[in-house]
Amino acid sequence: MLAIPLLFLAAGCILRAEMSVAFTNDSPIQTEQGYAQLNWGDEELDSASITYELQQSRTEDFAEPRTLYRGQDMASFVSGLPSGETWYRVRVLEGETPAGPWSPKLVVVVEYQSTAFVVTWLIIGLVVFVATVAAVVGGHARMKLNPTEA
Amino acid sequence: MLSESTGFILLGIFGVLWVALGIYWGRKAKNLEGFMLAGRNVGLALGSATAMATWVTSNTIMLAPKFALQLGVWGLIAYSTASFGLFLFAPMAFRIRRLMPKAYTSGDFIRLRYGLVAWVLFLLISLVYSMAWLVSMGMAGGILLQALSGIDYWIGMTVILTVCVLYTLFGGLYAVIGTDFIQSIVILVGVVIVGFFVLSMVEMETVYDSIQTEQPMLLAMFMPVALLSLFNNMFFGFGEVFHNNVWWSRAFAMREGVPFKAFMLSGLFWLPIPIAAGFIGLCALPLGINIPDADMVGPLVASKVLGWSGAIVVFVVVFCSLASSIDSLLAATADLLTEDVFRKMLAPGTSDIVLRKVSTYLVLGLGLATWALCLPRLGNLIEVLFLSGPLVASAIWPVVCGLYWRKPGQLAAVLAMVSGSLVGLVAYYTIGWFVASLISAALSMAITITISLILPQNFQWSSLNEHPDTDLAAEAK
Repeated sequence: MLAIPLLFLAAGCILRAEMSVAFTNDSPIQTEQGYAQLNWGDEELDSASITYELQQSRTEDFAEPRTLYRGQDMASFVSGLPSGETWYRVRVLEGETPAGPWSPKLVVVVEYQSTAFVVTWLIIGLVVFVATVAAVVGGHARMKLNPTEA
Repeated sequence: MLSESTGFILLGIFGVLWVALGIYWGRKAKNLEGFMLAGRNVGLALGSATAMATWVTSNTIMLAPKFALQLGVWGLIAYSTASFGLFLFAPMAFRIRRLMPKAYTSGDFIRLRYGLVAWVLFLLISLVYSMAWLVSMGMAGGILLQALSGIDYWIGMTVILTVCVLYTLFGGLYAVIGTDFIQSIVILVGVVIVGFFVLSMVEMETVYDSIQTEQPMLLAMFMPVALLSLFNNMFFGFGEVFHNNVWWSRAFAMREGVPFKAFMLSGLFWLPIPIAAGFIGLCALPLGINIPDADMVGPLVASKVLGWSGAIVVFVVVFCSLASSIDSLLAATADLLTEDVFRKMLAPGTSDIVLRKVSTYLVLGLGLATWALCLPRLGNLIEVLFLSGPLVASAIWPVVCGLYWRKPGQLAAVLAMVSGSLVGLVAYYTIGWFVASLISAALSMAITITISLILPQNFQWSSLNEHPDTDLAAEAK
């Protein structure tokens, strides 16, 4: 008597396992540049007929999730992320309805270079740029004024 | 994207056409000067077109949208600063022609200005950079043609290199410049078409709102890594243009009075291309296009916007941008090896007829070497191009000071190039790619100026003219 429901339960578990997906990236992804390539997939799934839903959230609990993508791609490039943590999760869809659980979460941690670091190199860059332009333009002007000497 | 058969048809049409043009224009190359420098008679239109087309590489078409997608508006601006190299080279080209009206290569300048050690070092830097650029273009050709049409990597790469080698072999710089003229028009029209259609599908306000909400740092005034890349990219560009024989050979090939205007115009025509291409990258999210690979953002958006015809436009533009750079590199690098290594180092006094043959063998040899390096598709070979940023940036100040200031001597030039290169490479790995070229240029500048002031020379400009029957004063009038 119990065999048939158990059989269905087992089939359901197998089906659910077959329709689960996970990110192939290591979590967390650390970046100083505010972008990351997210990859996901499952060897058991027939990728030709599977669609996925990728969500993004600024909080780990996905209180206000935003769907970034729905489709058959198994990767997505995200960029322009603010400092701090941004969370991602992905799942399999069947049409418009979920066909599996959400994947384990992936977090991208963005830590940009400090203001002092950036300003220092900007100033150095500006000095070298101005000096280079001055050397070329000044040399050209001197040559035009005094063609035989220069 | 396109079918493989469509890709092969396009490759076949353009390949045959370009080789035929190479054979046709090759009839003009009657001697060594004709083959290497197009008779030193290139006018303004061809001069501007060849400089612009050569600077439009597959990187411009593919990397500019990627920069914009990764780094936002500042990334787009950072990429377009590469045009400043062309603007600044305009007065330098004028000076080069005045000082060395009958010279052949950038190596000639360094040899005569600074001496043997600086010359050898400069040649090493230039050859490493040129090979890295060649290999990156060859690999990009195979990868892009595969992504756009499914043609196998090694087939696409082989066809692109073969076509470029053939028409450069037959026609020398005449063929290179002639095909560059056609390619520059194709590239400009193609990028404008795609940009126009992208603009017609979105409103600027929608693009702004979408990016502001989902990718806020792409519009931020203070986007750290993008701001850091601004000057770094600029000095990478300065170094590439100021040192490489691709640009010097064009300065020597142009008619008297043309170089200044040609390089200025080429910079002006080049400038909107990365901006338009970059804008395409920024529109990916507002158009609802998922980007699974940032390298392909340009073609993905173009084909979404224009469909099959967009893929064809991108395919043709990519082919033209690759060919316009590969042919220039083949010709200019072969010239450098022929003139500086073969004639000046190994076999002085060799006749022009023999040198013409040597030059053609070198074009073939460079093509084969590039093909062999591209075949295994080693991803880290493209890294070599980015690593060459500090190398070429170290040559900026020795070249600039060498053209306008009597005081720098060999010691200043050698120390500047060695220190800039080494420290820049260390910075690449320890701090990041976004400061390596800047550090190299800054250190090179400091060393060049300091040593020139401590140990000043009194260089005589007339030493640069190896053919004193040419009257510099008369040419100045």
